[in-house]
This record gives sequence, C-alpha cells and structure tokens, in this order.
Amino acid sequence: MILLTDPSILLLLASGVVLGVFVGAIPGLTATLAIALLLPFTFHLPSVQALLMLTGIYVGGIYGGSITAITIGIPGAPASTMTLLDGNKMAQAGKTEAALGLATFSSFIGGIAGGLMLVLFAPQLARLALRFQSPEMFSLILLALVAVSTVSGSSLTKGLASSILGLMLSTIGLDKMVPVGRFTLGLPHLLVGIAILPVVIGLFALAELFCQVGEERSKKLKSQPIRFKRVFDFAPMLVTVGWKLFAKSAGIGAFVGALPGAGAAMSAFLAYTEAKRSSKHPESFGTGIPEGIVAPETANNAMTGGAFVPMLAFGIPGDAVTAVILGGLMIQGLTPGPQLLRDNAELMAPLFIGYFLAYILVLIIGLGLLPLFARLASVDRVYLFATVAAISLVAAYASERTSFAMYLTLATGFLGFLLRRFGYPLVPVLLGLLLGAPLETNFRRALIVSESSGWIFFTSPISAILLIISAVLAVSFLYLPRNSN
Amino acid sequence: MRLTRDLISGGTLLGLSILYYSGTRSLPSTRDTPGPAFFPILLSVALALLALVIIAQGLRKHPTEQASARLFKPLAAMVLTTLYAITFEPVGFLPTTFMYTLLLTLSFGLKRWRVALVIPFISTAFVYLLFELALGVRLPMGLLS
Repeated sequence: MILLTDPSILLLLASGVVLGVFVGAIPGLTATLAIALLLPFTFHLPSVQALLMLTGIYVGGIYGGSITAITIGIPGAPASTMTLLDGNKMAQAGKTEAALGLATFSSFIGGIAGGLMLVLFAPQLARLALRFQSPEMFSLILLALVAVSTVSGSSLTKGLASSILGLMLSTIGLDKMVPVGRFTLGLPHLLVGIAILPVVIGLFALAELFCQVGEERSKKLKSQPIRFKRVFDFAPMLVTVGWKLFAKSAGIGAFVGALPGAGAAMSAFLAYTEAKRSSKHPESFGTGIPEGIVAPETANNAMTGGAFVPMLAFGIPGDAVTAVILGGLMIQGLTPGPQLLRDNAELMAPLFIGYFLAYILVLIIGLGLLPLFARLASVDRVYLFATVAAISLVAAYASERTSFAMYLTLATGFLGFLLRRFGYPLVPVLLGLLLGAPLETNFRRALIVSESSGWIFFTSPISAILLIISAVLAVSFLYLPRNSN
Repeated sequence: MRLTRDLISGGTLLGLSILYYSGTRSLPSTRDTPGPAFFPILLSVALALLALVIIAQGLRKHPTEQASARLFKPLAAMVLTTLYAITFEPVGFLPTTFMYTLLLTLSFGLKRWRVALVIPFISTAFVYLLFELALGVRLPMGLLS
C-alpha cells in the first residue's frame, strides 16, 4: 500500500516502463540489453525501488519490441518475431494504429494474466521449497540447468557446455566451505569471486554489440506517421477475436515463462502456432489478421509473470531477463530462493502490486505515447552503438570502481561473441555463474551428511523425481522436432 | 578434413577442460568428505566428455557452406574497446571516451561523416552527465587532473 501513497516509487516504476519501451522500440536493442545496461542505475536505490524499476524495464522492454516489428517489419527483440508476420502486414494495409493498439491491449491482458499466475503460485511453491534440504536443492538446481540448456539453443550438448562454462566461472575465488582460493591466477581481484554485473554487461550488452556490428546494415527504414485519433481503431476487432484466444495464449505464455530459460520468443511461437492450428481459417494467418497479433503478444507478456514464479520461489530465473534481475537482487545483497519470500516478505507485496501497475502503465503510456514510440523504430542503430558501448564499459567501471571490472566485461564480451559465433547459447553461462555456488554447496553438504554416498539424491523422493525429470527432459530433447529459433 | 565450427569449438573446450583440471591439482585434497577440488574435478570431466561429443558430431556432419562471416568490423570494435579499457584510468575519462566513440562510429563505415563527428561530443557528454552528475560516480580524470 506504500506504493499508492509514495509518488516517488510510482515515478520510478513509470520511468522504468518508459525506459524499457524506449530501448525495446529501437531495432537491435533488446529487453535483455536494456536491463543489463540499466542495472547499475538501480544500485543506489533501496531493494524495493530497485526491484520495481527492474520490473518496469522488463515489462516495457518486452512490449517495446513489438512496436518495431509492426511499424517497420524488423523485430525489436526476438520475442516479437511472430508479431511481425501479421502485424507488419496489417501496417502495410494502412492500419498501423489498429495493429499497434491491438498489440498494446494484448500485452496488457497477457501481463495481467501472468501477474495472476505469479500471485497465485509463487507463494505456494516457495512454501513447498522451504522444506527442501540439500539433496532436493541440488537436484532442483540441476534440473534448472538441464532445462535451460535444452530450451535455449539448438543443440543440447552445446547448451550443457555453456552451463558448465558458467559453473566453472562460479568456482573462481574463495571456496565457500574451506578457506582456500581457487583458480585465482594469482590475481587478488579474483579472490572475492567473479563479480556478476561486469559479466552480465559483457555477455548481454558488449557481446551483442560485437555481433551486431558484423551484420549487414539494413536499408533506410521508414515508418508511417501515427495519428493519435486512430489509436483506438482496434476496439471493434476485439469482438471478432473473442476472449478464448486471449485466455489460451495467456495460459501458454505463463506456463512457458515458468520453465527455466524458455523465454518470450518460445512462448510467442507456441501461442501463434496453436492459434493457427485451432483456427477455422488457418490460411489467413500471415495476411494481417488480428488473431496473429493477439496470440503472440498476449503470450509473450503473460510469460513475464510466469518467469518471475520460479525466480521468486526457487531462486531460479525463468528467462534471460529474469536471470539478469536475479543478478541484480544478489548485488542488492538478497539471497534468491525459498528464503527470499520468507526473509524478505516486505518485498513481495510491492513487487506484486508493482507488476500489475507496470502493465496498467503499459496500457496508458503505450496508447498515449504511441506516435512518439513509433518514431523510434526508424532510428538507425549505428548512431547509438558507440554510446551504448561507452555506457557498458563505464557502467562496469562504476560498479566496482576499478579498471579490473572493465577488463572482466571486455573478457566476457569476447567470450560471448565467440560462443554466439560458434552456436553456443549465452543464457546458460549466466545461469551457471549465478547458481554455481548453491549447486556446489548443496551437493557437498548432502554428501557430507550421507558420508559420501551418492544414494542420498535418490532416497529422497522429491530429489529422485527432480532428477528423473531432468533425465527425461534431456532425452526427449533428442527426439522432439524443434523450431530452429 | 575441413575445420568446422564444431571441431574448432569442441577442441578448444577439450583444451580448456584439461587446463581447468590442472588448476585443481594445487588444491588441498581432503579425505572422506568432498573438498574444494571435488566439484571442479567433476566439472572438468563433464566438459571434456561434452567436448568429445561435440567433436564427434562435427566429424559426422558434412561441412556445409557457411555464409562468409564478416570479421573485420567486430575485430575493429574489439581492438578499440580493449584500448579504451586499458587507457581509461591512466589517461582519463574525457579524452578516451571521446576517441573511443569517434573511432568506433567511424569504423562502422558511417558515410555521413558530419554525423559521425557529432556523435562523440553527444555521447561523451551524455555518459558524463549520467554517471558523474546523476549517479555521483567519480570518473577518473587521468591526465587532466
């Protein structure tokens, strides 16, 4: 309730949403990059404020990507690839305002549905997770790493290799149980371990820039001007779409979001495919029909709520952006995991309320400022690269106040660039780094309790079930047909 | 045999796992309970196995023609960024950020050079305002101090 009485918190949330939409609407700048770059600006804020601002950026960034997809036919973020199909066709037919309005409204509905899932499930799951002991926590984290490795790339082996690289990074520094420095290469800076923020910036901002620099520059981009009085043209279309598609897409989105690492792009893809499959006129998809915008936009925004569930309940993020937010919480000194909801109960109510408010803001700001945001879509990213690169490195410096943090960002930027060039996903690396310490500590603690018998992971029923799910997930990956992106 | 992406990356990961394993040799070993070296040894074994699978996959796959990757621009960006990180503290924020954003923008091949000359002024001022004034971070002044 403090939220509604303290205008400064609301302002912070609103500025987060605007920043998120702003960055998301510029082609080539994704929500992950936005969060990675804006993370340093939440440092000096108290935990609640920082969390709300990050939530605002997340929600705004996912929404912003669809603006680019519709107006100029280039997805602002991978999540909006499906929105592009019908959204851009509708814009070409002269109904840009209707397409954007539809996307905004669907985002709002999807977001609210995801929020309901968050409020309903996160506390329940966290209560369950509180009973977890070392063997169960170990198996749960292992499941998360296997899941993120299977869904985030086209190859299971490469995904797993990425996770292990992240885990290896997490072992650098003082051992958590015995005071011994590991893999420090004689550098005193490494004794305290790898700092999270420089790695996040390196992997998701700098590596992204290095990759995009090598891509072909797109032709001159032109978007039609948006007339404000036509923004509400979408309303009559809602009648033909019907509530069922909203409900189904939101369900798909929230469920996919709760899977570690699956993310917005996959939820949008699945919802679009399902809408097309169950439609009475599947051949009209891709020609600019409202259903083709509603399904993916509802799903990828419902995903954001779903992605928060495992992060709050287990300390395991549901997608790349929540992984970065988790890093932000750790920098704030909070321990993610089941303890978070117990020890920091004061954070939860503001987060839940803030999440819903963020989507109400998306609806208001989105519809109100559409003409302005639509112009951003034609900004040539080349003008922004240098500034984004400079902010990345200075942000890394500012986080630790040493040049060493810049070198770390630089090194992980190179690593991220190489990994992407060779077809390895980056999200598992970050997840491995974040979850490495709890994985190892719980593993060793369980083995000490059981006097070095590995059976302890199978005699606990919950742990055994989690391990079986991991194995099934990994094996089924080898047989399931997949979309290439 | 052509070197494919899988063979190169698999081989590198194999080398990395051996290097990482050798780093565990100096760690104290503990009897009975798993010590500091225990988990890293498991990681190095797992990475080595995965690397072997990736290499095997690379050998089995027929090398397909790959679109020639553009490497010049990313390489130029990496070299410039390295120079920026090295000179940032000793030379100072203002001159290095100005040069970095100028050279970086030029290396992208921006044809409109007048725009390319304006960008470093704007971005240096923007970064300065953002960090020094809005966030209160003391940026190194280097030679100018």
